[in-house]
Amino acid sequence: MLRIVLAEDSLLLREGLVRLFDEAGAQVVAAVGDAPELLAAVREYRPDVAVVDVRMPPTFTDDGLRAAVEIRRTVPGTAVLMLSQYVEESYAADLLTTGGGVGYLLKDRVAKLGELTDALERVAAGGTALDPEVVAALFSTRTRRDPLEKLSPREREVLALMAEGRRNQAIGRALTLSPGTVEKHIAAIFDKLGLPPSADDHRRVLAVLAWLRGTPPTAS
Amino acid sequence: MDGTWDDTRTAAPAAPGRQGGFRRQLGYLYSGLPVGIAAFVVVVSGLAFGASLLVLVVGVPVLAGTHGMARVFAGHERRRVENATGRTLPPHHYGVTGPLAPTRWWAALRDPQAWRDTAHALLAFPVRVITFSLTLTWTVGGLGELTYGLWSGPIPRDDGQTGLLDLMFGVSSRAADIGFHTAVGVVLLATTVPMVRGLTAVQAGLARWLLTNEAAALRARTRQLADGRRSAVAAEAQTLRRLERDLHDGPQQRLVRLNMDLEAVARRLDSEDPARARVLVDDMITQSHEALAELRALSRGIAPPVLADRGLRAALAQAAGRSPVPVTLASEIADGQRFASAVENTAYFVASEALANAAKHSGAPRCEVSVRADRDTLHLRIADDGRGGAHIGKGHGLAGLADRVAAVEGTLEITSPPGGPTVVAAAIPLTGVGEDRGPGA
Repeated sequence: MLRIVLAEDSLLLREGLVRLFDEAGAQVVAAVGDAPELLAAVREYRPDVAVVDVRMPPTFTDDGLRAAVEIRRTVPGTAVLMLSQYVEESYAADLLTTGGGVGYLLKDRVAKLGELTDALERVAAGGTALDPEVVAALFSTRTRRDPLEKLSPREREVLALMAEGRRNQAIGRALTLSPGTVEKHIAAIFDKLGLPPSADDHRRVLAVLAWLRGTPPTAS
Repeated sequence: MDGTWDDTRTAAPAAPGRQGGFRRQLGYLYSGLPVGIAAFVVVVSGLAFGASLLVLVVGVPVLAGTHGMARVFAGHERRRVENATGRTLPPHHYGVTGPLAPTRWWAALRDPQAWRDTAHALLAFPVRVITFSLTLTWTVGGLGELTYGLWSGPIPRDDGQTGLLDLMFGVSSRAADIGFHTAVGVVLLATTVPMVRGLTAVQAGLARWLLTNEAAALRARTRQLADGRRSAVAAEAQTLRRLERDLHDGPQQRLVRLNMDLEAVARRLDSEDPARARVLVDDMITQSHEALAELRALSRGIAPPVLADRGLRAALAQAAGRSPVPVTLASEIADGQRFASAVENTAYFVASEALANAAKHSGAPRCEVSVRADRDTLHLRIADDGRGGAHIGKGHGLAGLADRVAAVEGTLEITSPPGGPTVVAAAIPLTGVGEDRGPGA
């Protein structure tokens, strides 16, 4: 059973989320309302996942995000799932630089139990869970000349799901493709975008995102 | 803001009739001497007294007071000039306005326009002595000469007393004497109108030179407009930020939670557990009511429909009724009396914000809102008998108010000594900003 520390300043949502995690079969070991309390709770309980609202007291700006980055630095191995009211692609990017085991979801998304469970499991396993809207924002706001044009429509769908952090099987399920076909598409995408192939899910996501944001990925 | 723009009032009716103009100018020239003597005496003794006491500190208030007196005479002279010439003077500007508190003595002494006023009081005196004498000669003297034949008869003439004509040309005929004097009278009276106009122009020119400072006034006006603009921008940004925050913390959270609950209900219905779903539904109905209420409160905070539909008085009455602190509303504006929408919005915002502040911080048992409008200003006053201690710098609400009011070139005064009472007073000009609906339209 996943152990979770939840940080959300609105009592209303905190209650709702606790109930939801309960239904999802996770255990909320602490539910707090601001960033300093979150840091203390994470150090005390060492949870599998910290679920964190971006905007929290004390300053009501991105306190949650900064606390999350701090957690990743000081308590390695804690997965972080950020919740936000808005699509903020740069917030997600900040978080992604801290390595695997991170997620960024819109609050509307978590109401769906399936999506929440899925995201929790993925980040707890060291993967990535990005909200489709965040990915869509990355796709639409990029400015560099467009090798994406070279991708077939199917390949673009696969790329979007990859950017969200989905594994090959999940991509195959979502698009009703066989695992072999998915692998073929992915190989074609990496080839067309000039990305180094990678089997590691998170590294793969990072490569895709780095490419989408316009910074050339490091060949690792 | 340190400037005032006190010259927007319209001048006396332009281009008065010739006869009326002459009479006014005559009155202006005649009354100039007594006024000039008074101004000269006051200013000279004030300057002498103040300067000699300057070594002791008391000289400063004496000089500042002298400036104050000179300013009163200057204001009087400006009105007299505008009345006599029928034309508006260029604007003037003082660096210091308002009552002469000790803290402002020094600033008052350094105000260039105050020194110009003082200089005018001194210089105008000799000018006025001359213009007064010439006016007297041309009018009373002219009449006297013209009627010389009528009144000179009974006056006994002896050898020692010879007329002007006799002195100059040795002509001592009585008829020639009368003829000469009458001719002088005719000439004087015939040139009275241009003479009076000319003398008026001399005095008015002096006033225009020393009592107006268009460049400084325009600079002050520019500064004031720039301040107003800056305030408007700041107020706008603050309002938007607050609106976003309120939306985020209120309805948005409720709708997210509602969404969560709806999904849960769907799951429970799917799993054939309607009883547990039912519990959630009750909860959700409450959430959706609350979200609606919050949205309503928010939109009312921006611009309540009643303000747009029925005007300021109705909106203030509603705000007063909604306040948790009992409010008495003393309104001297009529129901349905409309002002420019920028004026109405600002006034409403000030009132509702001040009331909210009073409810939150003052602990007051009662508030009073009073509003009245004169020809060009809307006066709004919100007073509570709470614990006071409110300050523009403390919290954001009051600073936001000051910005909002400055944006429409109004003024906001907050007095709130510790222990109360707190009084928020706003004066909002009815024209000059936004569309001009004007009072009573």
